[in-house]
This record gives sequence, C-alpha cells and structure tokens, in this order.
Amino acid sequence: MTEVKVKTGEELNGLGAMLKDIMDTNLRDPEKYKSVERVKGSVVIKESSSGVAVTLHLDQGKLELQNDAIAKPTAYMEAGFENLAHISSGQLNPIVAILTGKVKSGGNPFLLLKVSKIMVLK
Amino acid sequence: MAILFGTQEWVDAMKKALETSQPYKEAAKKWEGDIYIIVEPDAAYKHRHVLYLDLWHGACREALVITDENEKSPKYRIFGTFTNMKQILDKKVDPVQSMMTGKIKVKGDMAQIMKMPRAAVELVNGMTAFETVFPD
Repeated sequence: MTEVKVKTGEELNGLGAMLKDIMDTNLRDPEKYKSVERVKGSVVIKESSSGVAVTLHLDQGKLELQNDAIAKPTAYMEAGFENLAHISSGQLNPIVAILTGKVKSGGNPFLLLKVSKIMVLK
Repeated sequence: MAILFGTQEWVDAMKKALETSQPYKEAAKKWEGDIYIIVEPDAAYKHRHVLYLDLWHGACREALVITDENEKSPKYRIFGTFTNMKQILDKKVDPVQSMMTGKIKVKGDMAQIMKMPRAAVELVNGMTAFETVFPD
C-alpha cells in the first residue's frame, strides 16, 4: 500500500500531519493514486494565518512530505485553515478556490490539479 | 472566579461555555463525536489530565474528568503538553496556529474535522471562555 513518507529525521508539523492523514486515505483508492502515479515535482502548501508550510515531493508514485517551504517548488498554494479544510472535505472546488482568490497559487497548474485530487476526501 | 484546571468543576464550566457559545453551536450543528482533551506532562508540570466531552450537534451531552483512559473510546483526541495547552488557555497563542504547528495535535476522523473546521476552532475557543487557574 502506498502512503506518503515523511522526510527522514523529521516530525511533521500539524498541517503536514493532517495532510498526510488525508493523502494516505486517498492513496488507498487506486483511481486517486493513478492521478499522481507518474507525476514528478514539488508542491508547497502553506496555511496563511499561521505561516506554517509543508512541501510535498512527488517522484513517479513516491510521495514524501517535509516541513517548511522549499525555495523553488514546481507549484505552490496558500490558503487559510478553513479554506484548506473546505477543499479537503470537497465543499470547495480547488479550481473555484483559485479563481475566487480563496487560494493563492503559482507555478505549474497541472501539478496542482493532480495534487488536489489526493487532497480531497470524497 | 478562576477555575482549577483538570477538575470536574473545570469540565462543567467547559460544558457551559460550549452550551452558551452561539459561534460553537452554529459551527458544530452537524458535529457528531465525543472527544478526549489530553494534557501531557512536560518539564513545567508532571501530571497528566484526560478530560472527556460528548459533543453532539452543537450540544455537550456529558463532561467528565477521566481517571482510566480506557473508560471511553472517543472519536477524537486533542492533545498537547501542559505548556502548550496553558498558552492557549491563557490566550497567548491562536488555536489555529497551535494546530498548524503541531503544538496541539488532533487525532480522529479527519473527514469530519475538515467538513467543520470552525467547530474545532470554536471548541478550543470554548476553553478560553472562562478564567483557568493551573495546579502547582
């Protein structure tokens, strides 16, 4: 069973622990795993009110989370806790969230779309 | 009057705070699940406290001090060290920041928390609705 690994020697911050829990649940679904199976890159996810961030590294089916934002990710997204939660629960469509400014994003939108599929619990 | 943390009086005050909090009632109107609030010992404080709240659709049906952790099997556990919990109760740090940094950890059905993030925040806010004094 595939699950998100944690960078060696690190204990994930709260944001990372929540995201890992959600992503591990989703990765058990072969359809959702397929969406990130061939993807390579890195995505920074940041909670805006606290400034807490994590980086998700994707390397053809292997996923790893680390604390903090790396300097040059392939893509990034930033939102408040409630909007991140609403995306994860499927109450807020990630594309709509970006278009309405509830989520700030940059970098490769294709990668963000792929990653969003394993961030949504439904 | 300040209430001593970890006592039945404290959990009763917490129950009352949730029952009278309109923001909590609104945010948690679909919330289903009981919870342990666990305070872990650290360098500043050597005792462990386990408090139980049965939360259901914006109401708090039961509030207890737990002596045997196996007494209940709650759906959720919020836990943190004494120092980190004290900072929240003293309103020195923001609950969301504490959750995001991992100073306060939440375990349980993440899907429900993600559906009602405000409920988790208002639950923590409920702990700060009255003055708490800590044991020596």
